Amino acid sequence: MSDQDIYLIRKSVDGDVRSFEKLIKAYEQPAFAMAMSYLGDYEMAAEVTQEALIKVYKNLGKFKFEASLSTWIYRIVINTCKDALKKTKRMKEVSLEDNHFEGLRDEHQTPEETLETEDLKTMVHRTLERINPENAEVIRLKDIQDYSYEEIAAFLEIPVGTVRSRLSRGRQMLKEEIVKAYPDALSLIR
Amino acid sequence: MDCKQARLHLNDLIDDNLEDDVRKEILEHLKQCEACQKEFDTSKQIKEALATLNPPELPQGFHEALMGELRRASEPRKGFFKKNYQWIAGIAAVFLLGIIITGIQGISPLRLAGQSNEMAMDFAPQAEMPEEEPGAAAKGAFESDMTMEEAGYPEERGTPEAPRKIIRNVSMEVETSDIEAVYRLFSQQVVFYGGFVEQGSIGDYYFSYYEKIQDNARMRNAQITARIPADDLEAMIAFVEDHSEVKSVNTSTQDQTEYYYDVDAQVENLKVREDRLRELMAKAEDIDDILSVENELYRVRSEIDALTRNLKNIDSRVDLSTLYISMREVEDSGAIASTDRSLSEEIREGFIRNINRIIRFTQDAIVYVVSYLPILVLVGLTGVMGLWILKKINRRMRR
Repeated sequence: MSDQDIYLIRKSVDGDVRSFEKLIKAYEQPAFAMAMSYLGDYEMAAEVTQEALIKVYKNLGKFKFEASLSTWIYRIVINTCKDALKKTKRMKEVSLEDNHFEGLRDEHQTPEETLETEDLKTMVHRTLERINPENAEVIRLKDIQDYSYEEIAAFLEIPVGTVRSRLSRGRQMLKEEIVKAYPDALSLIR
Repeated sequence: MDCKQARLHLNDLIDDNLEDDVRKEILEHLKQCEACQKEFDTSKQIKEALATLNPPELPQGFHEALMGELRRASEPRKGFFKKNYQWIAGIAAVFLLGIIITGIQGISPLRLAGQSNEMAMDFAPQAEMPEEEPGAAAKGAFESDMTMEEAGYPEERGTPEAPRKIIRNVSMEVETSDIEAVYRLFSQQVVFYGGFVEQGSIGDYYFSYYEKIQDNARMRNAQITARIPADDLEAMIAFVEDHSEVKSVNTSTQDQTEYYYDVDAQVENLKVREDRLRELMAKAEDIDDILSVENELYRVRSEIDALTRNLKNIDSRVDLSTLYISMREVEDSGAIASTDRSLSEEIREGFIRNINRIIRFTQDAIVYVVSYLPILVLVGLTGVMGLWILKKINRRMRR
């Protein structure tokens, strides 16, 4: 960490918003991209990113210099995203109970129908939502965000070996899901 | 390599995380095995599809909106009492209870606040510890500004035009609530001033002296021995003061001026001697003469080298002052938690004290009554006898 950063952190802790602006500028876009990959919704991602960065500002005094600043910030972003997901999930469950027939029908679109309307990109993204969230999370960080194994391990506070195994399991699951949901997908890819 | 092994490494191959020889082996296998090749292609294409999902652009006006929110967040909260009235009421109630309880005991409520002060004072006496370093010219905190006359060095002893050679050592004892941050901060500041950390250590849990008072007093300490350009020493000390609670500062200065210029003169003399020896060497013809001159020359040269090393050493210690910082981690004295703990402890102790008091009062009362029983009996008997006599007298009078 540079002296400049330490200086800015100290000023920000004292309540200087300008210093915080300088400090945070470089992290805004990556944080938003991260929220986007977790939430998949543009407006919601913007909202959650803002919430997370305000959290960063308010809690900067608790930053212990143990991890790098970027790791610390992304951890907060990730946790805020997860909280937001939990909330929307709860809301979804409630609305599903109200009219679950419609909800169920929506889930069971025939593959033929969807293949016509969706391209490969959305297909992969949608399938990603169906696999185990822990594995999906690592895939998002690795394959969408392009962070290294070590960075991901630091963000999620898990060992690098766990990142490796989740990634490998997740990719296998993703592949199987795609083949299952879209039998023609492989020919589409090839 | 078989399929099983190849599949194991497939992910690393996709992420390009493999050693060259392993990668070679896998690629070799993929060439021969269609199933694995297919597997690899599919995985790679999924990865590529995922990569196209990034990166989304930041929404327009995101930065401005964020800054607006931050400015709002950093404004002092107006509705503090309204928002937190439950907390404040709760704290007030606990305080009131404590004051009532301690008030009943006849102890001043001020003692509640006194406890944390006492803890903070525990280390203060060390600030008065005498400096014991031999040859220390100045003692105590911040006396480094002392001029040389005050320190007992008359002005005329130094060479007027030559700079003084003064070595400065400062040792500081500080306390902080966040030792890691401060340790790092100081180390970086030392580098910032163009100095370096000669030695540094952090960690080593130790059990604090007032562990009995505080349950959670397992705190850490850290040390930094730093070398700092002499001109920036004062600034560094100020920096340390700004970022931690300074408990003591000891400054010692060693004036090496006299010694330095003595040695310097000695070196000059030796150099003249060396030149003369060289001249002699050129003139010498006899083998014995040459040998003895050469011997002498060698001796003079080594002496010059040794003394020059000595001078360089002093120069380095003069240019770079030594700053020793000893850090101790302490509980944040402003934290509510510690006050709460002593408060609850006060209440508990007070309660026990009062129960004891009641027991002791009852005991005392019983002892009092029992011990005075003989006297009471005597007084009672006298009274009864007195009444009996009075009655008799009354009766006689009536007759």
